[in-house]
Amino acid sequence: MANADQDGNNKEGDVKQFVDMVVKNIEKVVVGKRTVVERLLIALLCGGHVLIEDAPGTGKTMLARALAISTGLDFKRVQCTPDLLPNDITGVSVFNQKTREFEFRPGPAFSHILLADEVNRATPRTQSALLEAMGEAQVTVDGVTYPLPKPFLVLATQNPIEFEGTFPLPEAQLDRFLLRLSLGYPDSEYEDAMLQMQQLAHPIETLGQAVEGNRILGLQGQVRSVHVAESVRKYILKLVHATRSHSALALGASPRGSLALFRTAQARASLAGRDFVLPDDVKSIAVACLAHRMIINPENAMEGESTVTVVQELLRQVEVPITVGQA
Amino acid sequence: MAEHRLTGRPAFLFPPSIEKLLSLGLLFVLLLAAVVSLTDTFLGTDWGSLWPTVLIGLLLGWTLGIFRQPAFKALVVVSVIGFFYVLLFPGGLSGQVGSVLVNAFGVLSNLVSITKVAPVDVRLLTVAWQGMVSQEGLLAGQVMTWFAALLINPSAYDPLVIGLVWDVLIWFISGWAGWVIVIRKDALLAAFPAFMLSVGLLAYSHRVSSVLYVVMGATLFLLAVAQFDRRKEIWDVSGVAYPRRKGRQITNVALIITIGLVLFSAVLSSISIRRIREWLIEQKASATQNTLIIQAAPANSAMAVTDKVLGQPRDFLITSSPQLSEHVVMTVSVRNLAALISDGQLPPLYWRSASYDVYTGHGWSTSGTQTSSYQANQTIQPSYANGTIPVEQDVFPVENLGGSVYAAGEPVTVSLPSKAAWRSPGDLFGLQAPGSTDYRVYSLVSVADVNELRAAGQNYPDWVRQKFLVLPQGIPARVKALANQLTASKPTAFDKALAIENYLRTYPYSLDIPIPPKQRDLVDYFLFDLKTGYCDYYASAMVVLAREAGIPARLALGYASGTYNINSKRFVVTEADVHSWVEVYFPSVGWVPFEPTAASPRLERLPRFLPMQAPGSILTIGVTNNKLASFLSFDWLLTLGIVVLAAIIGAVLITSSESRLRRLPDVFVVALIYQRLKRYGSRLAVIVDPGATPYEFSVSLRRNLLGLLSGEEWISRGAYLDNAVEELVDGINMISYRSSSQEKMHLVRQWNALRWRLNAVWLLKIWKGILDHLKIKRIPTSNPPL
Repeated sequence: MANADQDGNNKEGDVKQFVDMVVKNIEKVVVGKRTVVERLLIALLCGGHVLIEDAPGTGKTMLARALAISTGLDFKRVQCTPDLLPNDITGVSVFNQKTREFEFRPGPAFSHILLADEVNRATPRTQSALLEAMGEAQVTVDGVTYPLPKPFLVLATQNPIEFEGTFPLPEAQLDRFLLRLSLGYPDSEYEDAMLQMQQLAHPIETLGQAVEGNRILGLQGQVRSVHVAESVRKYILKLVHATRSHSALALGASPRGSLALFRTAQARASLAGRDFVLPDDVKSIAVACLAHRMIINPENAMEGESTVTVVQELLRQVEVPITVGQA
Repeated sequence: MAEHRLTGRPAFLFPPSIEKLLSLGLLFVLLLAAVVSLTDTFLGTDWGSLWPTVLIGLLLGWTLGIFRQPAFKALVVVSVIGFFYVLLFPGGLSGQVGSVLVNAFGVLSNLVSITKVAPVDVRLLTVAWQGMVSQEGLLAGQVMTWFAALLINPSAYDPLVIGLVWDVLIWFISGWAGWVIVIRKDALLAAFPAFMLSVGLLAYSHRVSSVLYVVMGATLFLLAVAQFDRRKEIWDVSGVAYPRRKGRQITNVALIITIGLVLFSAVLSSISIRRIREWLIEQKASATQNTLIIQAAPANSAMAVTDKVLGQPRDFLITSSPQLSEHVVMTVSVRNLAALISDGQLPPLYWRSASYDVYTGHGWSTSGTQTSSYQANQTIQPSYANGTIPVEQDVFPVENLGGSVYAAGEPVTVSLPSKAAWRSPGDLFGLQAPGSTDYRVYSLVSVADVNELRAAGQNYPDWVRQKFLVLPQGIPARVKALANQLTASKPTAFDKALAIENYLRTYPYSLDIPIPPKQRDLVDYFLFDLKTGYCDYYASAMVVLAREAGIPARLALGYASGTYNINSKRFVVTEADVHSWVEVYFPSVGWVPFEPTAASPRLERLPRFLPMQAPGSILTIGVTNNKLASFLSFDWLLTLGIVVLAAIIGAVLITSSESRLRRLPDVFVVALIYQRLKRYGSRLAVIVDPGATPYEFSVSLRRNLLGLLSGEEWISRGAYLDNAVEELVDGINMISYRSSSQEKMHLVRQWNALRWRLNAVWLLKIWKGILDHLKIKRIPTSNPPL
């Protein structure tokens, strides 16, 4: 037991150290967004994908690039438009005249970090191809299945203001995103710092690698071994169940939502250097993890409520169990 | 003052659980047991007024607990209601207040009625109002007098006021019990005052009472029930599922164990080492054919007085040979008899009806008297002498006693309207109460010990000098010579009186004597010619000799104690017990009886002198210093035992929370500590969401703590406290949400270190609140709060 604890502690140290180094590196480029960066890493450590809802120009691409450079992972970017085809993402088989064979040319999906900009502008067909790649970690082209590289993180962005000529993602698809994040505008002091930093050259040009990206796979395993007490598990379930019976919601969170909350809470605990999950972990990640999986009643939406406010309200109301007796 | 916002939900939803009701009932039984021992022990305490006090006080405290009132608020409510309650009911103002209300209602209804049949008449209301005010004034005056006297002299005695004081005390004890059992669910803490009261009283009265078994049984059962109730709360807090029927099972088992333990203790207590030893000695003695009979001296040997004198006390004149009669004239029961016994001795209980000051040479009479009337239970003479003990006696006349009131010592109140004949203030001739019904008399009996009497001196007040040192002309010189001869070598008045008493006790007793010749001085004739006689002769002779020796003395008339009947617990007084004896005056002590009659048992006096204890202790109320002194000296072992017991119970109370924490499984420990931390949070007005995590709670708490301490020069302490709270919550998190936990004991230690500081901060907050309330602006000593 003691030995296992010892190991556990070392592992947590690893994750914390890893994350700290990445965050420090990224902050050379993207300032004042520590929480978002951490959550991106949470998603990476959980093997999930992130939906970023934000206005243009808030630094989504820069964030993704900085993350890729810091970890030394591949980075590809796809700008989604209505004429984007599934093959433009997954890749295409081309007939090689010399070898007389079809040759697979991998698309942007064959990378570690894929940024799909304005994902809701792609047609549903393309969207579903992307989401399938996200879900299965493999693509099938012309009957041949190709595994995608690991780790694989998709950052899909979406403009929450413009709806003209878009194909909004259906709920079933949204549920596949582990987290929904929002960068938001930086505080004026950070924005000022950004202006100063970029006066001569963009710092991304000189950004170097901070960690070995292939360590992530090992760290993913360690995150899963973080202890979740019965009381915390019950708390997660209580929260998720509360969304299902909430009067303002047309649809509550799915079991996939429970699992996502469980995993992300584990990751957040190990980010904090702990080998056990606190209810505080659950509470801090719950909005990002659950809000996009639920549908609010139109009349409640009219009153200014949103799925975010509902989750926040539940976090205030649902009692946190201290312990669960073994009797 | 900042509002106390308690974030917890009400303690229960109606109806209250069976455990709560059961513990309430058990507390009631426990408190009643304490009241029973109280009324058994102390005078002026009345069962009829005490048990409603217990009931109402207990229910009030319980209700306050149910509504989660904090201690300070509960104390204020209990005090205010208690003040009015005690004034109205035990204080006897209810009648007056009631009539004021009735009259006020009448006047009001007259005012508002449309058809005014009569002009508004407020006279009745005015009369009732005046009656209430005057009664209030009377009561207040009595209480003030008593307190003033208490400050000067701890043996101040007034049955009504003492009753009130005990009522107030019992009221608070009951309120405490009710409040604590709900708020803390701690039977030991709730029952502690009542328990200590019962134990203290039993120890004080030197009695093994069956009340003790009731106290023990109720306490044990209460412990089990309250403990279960508490455990249930922990289970509820931590979400443990438990079968509802568990409560009844546990209650049943606890009841069986309790009954078993009580029976066991009853059996065990009847086995004493002393008895076994005595039995062994007896066996040994009979084996060696030595008939050694060990018998305890009868407790009432001192009162087994059978004085063979006859005749109703009447206008006193010594007559010819009386006749014997065993005809019962009255029976007397003394309620606090057990409390009177010290060193196995009862103080002399002679039922006096009158005292005489004037010796005529042939008999006795009294100088002029003034009569004043008293209502039932009105204080006749608040007598605050040293070395007296209150006696409560119920007198049941069998014969018509001519309306004389009989009492041992100096009467204080009589339960009948009475008339007192005073020679001068403080110098009572006798009391008359018309009719021959039963009555109750409170009186003060002297139990001054030898040293006190020796130290009394001879600084007599004027009224004593003028009346009780006077002798008629023509007392023969040989009487004077004898008095001189007996007392010249004695240093103090007491020794002189003792010498006279001893001398007279050498005269043989006889009822068969001739009528003394008219021309002779009675005492001279008895001392030198007759040289035998009965009590009247002895007493007269002693008074005359004492006065000759410069000691003020008077002749007292009434009945000797009579025979104590163990079954009826009464003194049976027959015509044959008619007696006269001598009372000698000692400054600051009062009248002390002497018994010169040879046939009557000598009056035992306490030989020891113990310095008087400071007044103020509960047990000294209504207790004389002598009684206390003997209590302390006689049963120092018992006292020591009580002190040790109290210390142990105190220590248990202090450490019980810690030891309970040590025993409980980790998860409960954490839940309990967190619950308590939250209690401090609510005291310090920390408001958090119901869904707050321990960490979030600690952040709010720490913010509040720093806010509270920031105005003071306590910043460093604040930082310490801040750290301690943070560490504690870290510990709570560790144990609650981590798989293994070695930190439980560490957490308990942390908590114990922290809670005193939290208490201190809480007190600081209250203090600040009071200051704010009083609008006292404090000059800031350091930087203003951030």
